Amino acid sequence: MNLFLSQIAAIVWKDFVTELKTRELFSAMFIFALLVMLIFIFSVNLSIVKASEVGPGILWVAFLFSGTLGLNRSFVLEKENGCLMGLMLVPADRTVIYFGKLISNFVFLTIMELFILPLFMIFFNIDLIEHLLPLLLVIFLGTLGFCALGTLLSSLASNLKTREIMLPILLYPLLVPIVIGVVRMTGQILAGEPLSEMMNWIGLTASFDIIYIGVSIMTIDHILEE
Amino acid sequence: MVDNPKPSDFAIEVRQLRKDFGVLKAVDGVSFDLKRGEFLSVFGPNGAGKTTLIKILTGLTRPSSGTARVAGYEVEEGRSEMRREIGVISHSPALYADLTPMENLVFFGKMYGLEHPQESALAGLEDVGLAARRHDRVRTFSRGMLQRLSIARAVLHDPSILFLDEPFTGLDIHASNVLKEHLQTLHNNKRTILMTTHDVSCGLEMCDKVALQVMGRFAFFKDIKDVDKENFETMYFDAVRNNQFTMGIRSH
Amino acid sequence: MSPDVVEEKEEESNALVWLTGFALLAAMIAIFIYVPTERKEGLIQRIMYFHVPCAWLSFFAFFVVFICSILFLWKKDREWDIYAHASAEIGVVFCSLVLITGPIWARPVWGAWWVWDARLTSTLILWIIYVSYLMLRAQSDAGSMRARYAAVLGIVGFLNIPFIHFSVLWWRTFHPQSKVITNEGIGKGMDPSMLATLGISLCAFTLLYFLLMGERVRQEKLKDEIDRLKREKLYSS
Repeated sequence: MNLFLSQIAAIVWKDFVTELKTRELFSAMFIFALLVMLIFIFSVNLSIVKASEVGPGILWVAFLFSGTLGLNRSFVLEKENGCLMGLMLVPADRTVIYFGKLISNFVFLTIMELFILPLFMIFFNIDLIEHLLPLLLVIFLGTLGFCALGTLLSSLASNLKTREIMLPILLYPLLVPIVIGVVRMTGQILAGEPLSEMMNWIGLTASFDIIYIGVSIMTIDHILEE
Repeated sequence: MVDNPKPSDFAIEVRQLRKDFGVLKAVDGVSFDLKRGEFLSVFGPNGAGKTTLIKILTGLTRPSSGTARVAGYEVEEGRSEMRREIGVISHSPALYADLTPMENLVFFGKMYGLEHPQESALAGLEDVGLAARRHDRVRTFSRGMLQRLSIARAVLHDPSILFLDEPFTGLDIHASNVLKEHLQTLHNNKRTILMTTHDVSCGLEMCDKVALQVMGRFAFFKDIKDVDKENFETMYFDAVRNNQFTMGIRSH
Repeated sequence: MSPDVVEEKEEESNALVWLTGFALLAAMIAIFIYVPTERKEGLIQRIMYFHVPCAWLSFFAFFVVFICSILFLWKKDREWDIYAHASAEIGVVFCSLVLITGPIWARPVWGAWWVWDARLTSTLILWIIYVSYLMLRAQSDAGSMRARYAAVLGIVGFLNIPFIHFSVLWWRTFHPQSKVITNEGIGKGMDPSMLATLGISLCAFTLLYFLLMGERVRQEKLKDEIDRLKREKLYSS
């Protein structure tokens, strides 16, 4: 068990050291998320539409698009030089690789989201501070679900010739439930509704997270096989 | 809980190993034994299933049928104990290009659960003569240096069995001479080595046993003493030529 | 395969062809001649007898993909991979038919080609998921990798269905549309003759599924066989 955790930690450490050196991933994700938000702001007339109504959707589209960029990148790094094969040879369960990549994907995306939130606040003139805690819970649930399924599918897509194209095509339709859920919840939170009003959505996204982490644990063996 | 394997003279025991899927037969009924400390070179044309054989023996993929024991462990069980006993060097170095050699080896040391990853990494780098460049990025390394670093990675956890998949691919003469020296040292240290290669002269020079794999089968498996080198070369090139005709069929 | 077995199989599939043919004919007669025209919606309502069986069939086909995918990962037998592939293709075809007949029916009845009704939306997402499944198969080379990846997607995709269902359902309830008519609403208080027609049609389509499935699986196996023969021929020469 101890080795299991320290192996996961080693993978996360390795991803962080790589990122600190190259600073490729974070800056790309951040700028891309910013661009997505801007493009939506230009395409929606904010003087007609209420910012609090379109805001949550735009915010999450920015998160998911830039998150996909991160997912694509994270397994490309592993495929380069055949590193993934090296990882598969170490005396570790395949789930170690899955959890290691899941955690580093999750942490990168969350950090990026925390940087985007203040900008969102400024651009849309929405006060997030008073709803911060429930908002963070929703972001946690949504990001976890995205990364749970995203890590599984990006490990799969990384072996395809057309991985950059196939990942979003495989991933987005499966993410529809979680996108609807988090956008709806974010909207309600910004409208000042308490969390107890949206227990059904919380249940849906939480069970989505749990089921897809479970499915990944069960199927990752079959994907990480040469 | 872990039942220790019965001690055996053999490092690798393979019986009727098969890997097929539908009509594709990558490995088709291979059987052989390799004693501890022996060096086996497997020759074969492209697509003969050499890489698949190594992938099965290292637990990267499952055989369809047959059994293989490596270091006394059933390969199919995918035991961690078995993976501790093996090291793999292939034509791709399996090193992170953006990390330094030191960071790479420390990372793999941690993954193998070594007690002192830092010290082991440094010792490994010294063995392959890369200690001076331990803080440069791997991306800046030449092909030959990568291959040496890749040796250091593969023997970091002191495995008793080494698998080499086309290690000479893409190396210049100097680099492949250095590689040969390293292999010789590893072999002298009583490590079992299984190497696949195209390079007939390199392969025959060091080995104790020779095999020729064609269309997934071992067409030839002999002690080096009983091999007539020139004859073998002719046979090998015949196999390669015949193979040209059958290649296109693998993909629909 | 011995010649006896081949003959027996051919007889079996012949019987299925005839049975399916008769069932479809009976369904056509029931739909266009026997069943009375619905009073409110008129002639267009008859499209239901295609629409509903298509929806049932695609859902059933995707369920078969799910089961075969699990069996494949368990047994690693190419047979299950073929079944999953064939069933996904049939499912996508009939899912497309649902998405085509839906708007044709909706236009005169609801006054719009497309309404973001829970059921239609779910079907659309389902269609995209299984089209991406087929794309994944087309993108990877034949072999165990393709089969394993497709199986994982077959499982992940089917498990998504309850999530899609509830999320889309709750999504709509926040913007209630006055003109949304669910299939249950129509189904309620249906005339026995309409129910019977729907039943016949459902049976006919289910038989059609098995017929198509058998043909598609046979085709895929022949492909494998040709490959094998080609290899053997070249190897021996």
